[in-house]
Amino acid sequence: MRILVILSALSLLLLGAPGAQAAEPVKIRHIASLYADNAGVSLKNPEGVGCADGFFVAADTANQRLLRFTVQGKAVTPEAVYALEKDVVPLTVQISASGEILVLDGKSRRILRLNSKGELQGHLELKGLPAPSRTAFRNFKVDSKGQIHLLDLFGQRVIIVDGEGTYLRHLPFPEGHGFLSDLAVSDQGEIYLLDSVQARVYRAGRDATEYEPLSRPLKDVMNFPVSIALDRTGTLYLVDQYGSGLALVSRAGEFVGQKISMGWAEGQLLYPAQACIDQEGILAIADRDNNRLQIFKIVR
Amino acid sequence: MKYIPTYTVTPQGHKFRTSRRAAQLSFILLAALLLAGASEAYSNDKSLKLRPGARGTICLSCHTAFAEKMDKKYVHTPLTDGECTGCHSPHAAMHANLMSAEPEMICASCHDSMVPDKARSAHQVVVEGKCVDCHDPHAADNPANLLQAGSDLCFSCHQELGEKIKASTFKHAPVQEECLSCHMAHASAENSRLLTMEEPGLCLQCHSTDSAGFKKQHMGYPVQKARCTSCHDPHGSSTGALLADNVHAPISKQMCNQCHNEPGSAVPFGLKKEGYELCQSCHYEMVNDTFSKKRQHWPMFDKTGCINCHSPHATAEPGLLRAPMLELCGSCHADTVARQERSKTDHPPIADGECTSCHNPHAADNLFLFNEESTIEVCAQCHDWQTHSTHPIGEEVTDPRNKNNTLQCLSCHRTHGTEYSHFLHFPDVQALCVQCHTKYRR
Repeated sequence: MRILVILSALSLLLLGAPGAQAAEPVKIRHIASLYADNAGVSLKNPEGVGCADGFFVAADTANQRLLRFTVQGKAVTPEAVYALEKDVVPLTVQISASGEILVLDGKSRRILRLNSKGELQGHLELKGLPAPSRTAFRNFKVDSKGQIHLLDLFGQRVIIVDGEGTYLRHLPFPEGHGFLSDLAVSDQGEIYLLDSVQARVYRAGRDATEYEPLSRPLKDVMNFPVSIALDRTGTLYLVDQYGSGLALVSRAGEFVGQKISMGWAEGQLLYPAQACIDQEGILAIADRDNNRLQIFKIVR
Repeated sequence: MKYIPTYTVTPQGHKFRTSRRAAQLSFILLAALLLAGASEAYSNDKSLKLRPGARGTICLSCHTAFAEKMDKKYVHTPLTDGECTGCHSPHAAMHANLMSAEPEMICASCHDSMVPDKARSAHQVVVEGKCVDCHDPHAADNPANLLQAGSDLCFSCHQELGEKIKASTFKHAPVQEECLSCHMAHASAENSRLLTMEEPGLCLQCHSTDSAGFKKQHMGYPVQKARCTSCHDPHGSSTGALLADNVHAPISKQMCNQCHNEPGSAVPFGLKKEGYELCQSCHYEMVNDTFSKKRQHWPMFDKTGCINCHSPHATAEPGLLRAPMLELCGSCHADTVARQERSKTDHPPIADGECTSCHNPHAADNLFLFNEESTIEVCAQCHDWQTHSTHPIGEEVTDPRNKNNTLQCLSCHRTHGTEYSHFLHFPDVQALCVQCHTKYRR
């Protein structure tokens, strides 16, 4: 009897242990495919999407505009269209806690700032940046504290600035990396770097000064991942652009599995670009070559 | 007293030069081992009631052609000893030629140290266990049972290199002798490219860098500390001074200081600017044109910049590419190149390594850095029949599978290949067509 009690207690402890939640199988349910804005104008090669509580903003790249959608339960509704300047190529989108919209312009490789009404406020100007002063941003993320993490190709570093662009610190790219395309930041301040060429994830702890490999090179199970998003359990969602699917990696760096296949039907992907996940587990993907956004619900 | 060299022969047939004392000791040891081995074999043969010669000599009574083999200058040790059963199973086997183990593994059962642990580089055929590509497992007229003597054997695989060496106006003497002057045959524990020593050390074994002429040729830069093959082609060239065939203008004009610091400075090989900024000072039109496009090839913007793909000095490849295009593009886009290799149907531009037939490697206004806005136009550069006879495609034809897509070549084909014929997305034409023509679905 005593043994039974001990075994039961141990089982309960194991079930409640950190990471146990992340080990649960993940299911991804298709909720909606979005083809047009509120005026019925079709999307064209959307490449970016940024999630916030109750809404998300997508970069309708070839139409050079941003689209805002509201999310209520399983209902996703087009809400607003924000036009951009003629020369801007909106690639990736982030939304700060205050509702500010930040957009990477692929042509100038700079970050545009728009207020919550979609009005352009200018570029993100960096202050106090150590050499080199030149930058070339491939991607960026805004963390829960409002700090902006910039993937700087020219300086081979991740620059961290506050919401106003004042330099806080930077971390050099890890040694032996391939080509880094994206990064993700957890609520705990961990930074994850995505290496597209090696299909590998690097990680730096909150106060770490350098990155360490988190996963092995995963080229055998995916093609060319270009975007990385985190859910609230710490599972990493890698958007495999050339494989037209999603690859899941646990917070311990283990490959968990592939989700979603290549195709034209709703729920399938064709050269997807960016993905984002909100606090409710809504996963939005810019389904670039299907000219639409796809919305999924992460179910455990 | 005249020194007479002696040799030790291992049971695997390798010869090592030894001193006389060592040779004597080796002889005693070998004799003891042979006696012990013979005694054990005799005991086994007796228990199995084997006929004399059953381990191999008896094989030759049927395999008479081997008598000729046995007359060759170099005979594989087991065969000399009449031990056919060293490699073959006399009754039945799971492998062809009655091999007693997988052909790729059997040599390693004796020769197990051909590739050192954590070798820096290894010959592909050795790693794959294809020893018989170079060695005759029975006998040959060349040392180490090699199929051919000297570099001819190497050129039977490295054919293109052999032809290039032959065609070169300026020859490199060691290459004319044999490849093993600089390369190891099996693996190199510490060096890349199977080299016997890394450069510049390897080059400096023959080339002195002290002369005034050498220094003048190199504009006073301390190249004895640099990588010689960054400019020179060690296999021969048709450009003077064994420079690789395509030379960057500042090198041929001896203007190294256009990009590098002065030779007498603290860091003479230091660059005057970083990344694409250095190249922009001469190639400003090209760089400005690149920046005016909507989409750029991202590696151009990192610290390495243009020289991610181009050699800044000299190279055998046109356009000063660092490597043949397929290899170069494949160094990042390995999945795309692998897809073509797996593909049931070849797509010539990819199979031929001409990625720039469809893509602009620097920048474009189009997705995938296509050199045309419309995918149909990209394909029509070769497939001009598309413009007059085809399934309805174009901006006016909606894809029935997705109302936001129009039909174009990539609606049915995946240009880098699939596991299906004609790089279709689906196993056959019927399976493809019913994706849209659903009423014909079975």
